[in-house]
Amino acid sequence: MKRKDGLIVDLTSGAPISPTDPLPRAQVKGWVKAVFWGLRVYIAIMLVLVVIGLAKGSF
Amino acid sequence: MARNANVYATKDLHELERELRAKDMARVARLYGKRGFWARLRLLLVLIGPGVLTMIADNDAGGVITYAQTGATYGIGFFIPSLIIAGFIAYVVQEMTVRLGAVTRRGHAEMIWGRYGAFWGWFSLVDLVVANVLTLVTEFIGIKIGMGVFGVPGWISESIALAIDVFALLVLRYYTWERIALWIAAGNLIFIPLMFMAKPHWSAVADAFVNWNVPGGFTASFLFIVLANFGTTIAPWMLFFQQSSVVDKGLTERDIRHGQLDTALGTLAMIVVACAIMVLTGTVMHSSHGMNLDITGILNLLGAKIGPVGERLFALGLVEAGLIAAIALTASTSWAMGEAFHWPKSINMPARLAWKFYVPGIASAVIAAAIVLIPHAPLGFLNMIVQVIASIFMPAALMFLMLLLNDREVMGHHVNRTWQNVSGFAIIGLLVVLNGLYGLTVIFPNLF
Repeated sequence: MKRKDGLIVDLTSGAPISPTDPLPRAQVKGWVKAVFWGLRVYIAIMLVLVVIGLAKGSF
Repeated sequence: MARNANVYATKDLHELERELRAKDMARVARLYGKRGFWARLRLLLVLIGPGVLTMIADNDAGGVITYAQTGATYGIGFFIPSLIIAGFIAYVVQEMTVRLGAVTRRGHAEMIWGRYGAFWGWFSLVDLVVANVLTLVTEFIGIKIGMGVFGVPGWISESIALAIDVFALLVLRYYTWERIALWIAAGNLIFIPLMFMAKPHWSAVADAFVNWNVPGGFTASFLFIVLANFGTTIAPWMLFFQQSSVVDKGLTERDIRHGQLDTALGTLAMIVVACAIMVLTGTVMHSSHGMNLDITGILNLLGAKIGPVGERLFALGLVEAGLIAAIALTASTSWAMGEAFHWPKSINMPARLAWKFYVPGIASAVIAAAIVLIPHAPLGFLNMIVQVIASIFMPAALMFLMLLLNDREVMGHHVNRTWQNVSGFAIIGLLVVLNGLYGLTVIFPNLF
């Protein structure tokens, strides 16, 4: 809490994790893990397409 | 109170950052305490900013050029209704950044880095910074071309734009910076009177909603222009920018409703302006010219069809679009770097104390302005690289957004509702399919 111009301004509370605390790492399991693998596959496919596009002079 | 660098060399700069932000939060708290229509209106006007700024800055120089070329090439038949869908998509996505920023009070880069680790943190940061620098190049190109209509040499227009951008970021507090940026953003509305100057056939505009079809069939070039239009309506920097802006402004859970209204107003302005540009070029150029018009050709044709005033107004709009986007992109780079590396990360911070925060943004703008001035720089290739990075990065950035908005540990009861998850994942699916199809047309040019 900070007092500014006679008003109390709430700076930290309210957020489930206080903005002044370190942010804990998320548990990557279940569907979140599948999402990350999907993301990796998507990025890999897009990079391959970009390389093929560059090799063919399509850009 | 006199402050100097030596005092703050030993004081926690993060504490100073929170202290400076508390001034803005106190102003809002005072307005919440007042009753009556005018107090409510004033509160709304004070809280409006991040949403409108993000959406208007998204109508950047590249966006103006894309919308103008689309109107000239395809008329108003397909893309006017599709822009309204794109507006809905932009609202759904950007509203999530408001909640995420207001609840966690942390920027997007900090959230990705903190929750998902350094690999995805670096992936997002490098993509964002590279895309921001290259997008800044397109903004400075727009400024150069627009000011060129008034006979201003490129190096002068670039220098003035750069000076405004750097001055606003370095010298002003967040709130003043935001207000000045909003005034510049208001210049985006110049395209609305321009549309009326073209005397459009409103029956044709209405007909676009009734007979919505793909003009000329589904081809690779049509797919490219659909991607370009979606790419210009939702972009990775917007997620980072609006969330950081919400945090730097000091918005909290209590302000979410105002943030949503702010985002809705911004979306409305963005779509109205985008439609105005398409109706303008669709009316003036579609029937007689069509394909392969670059921005210089569009400006010349506007001069010939609706007179030099129309051409100059369009050029001014192009300059404004480039400038407001340059201001937003510069801040976005600084915020993202500050969040990733836990530097002080507020536009409220004095430059001498938070130079680490300011340097990346300013360096990105200087590099972009310099690239534009290099003779024979491969600007078309650079623009293509922006599209490629955005198409790879955008689904990833959206996925992180969705993961965070479903994370009860950080969002509490502000997690996404079912319709927001359905919309969000549908948007990601649409982007993946469109990007995949475009990638396939690169390998198999005769696919469609």
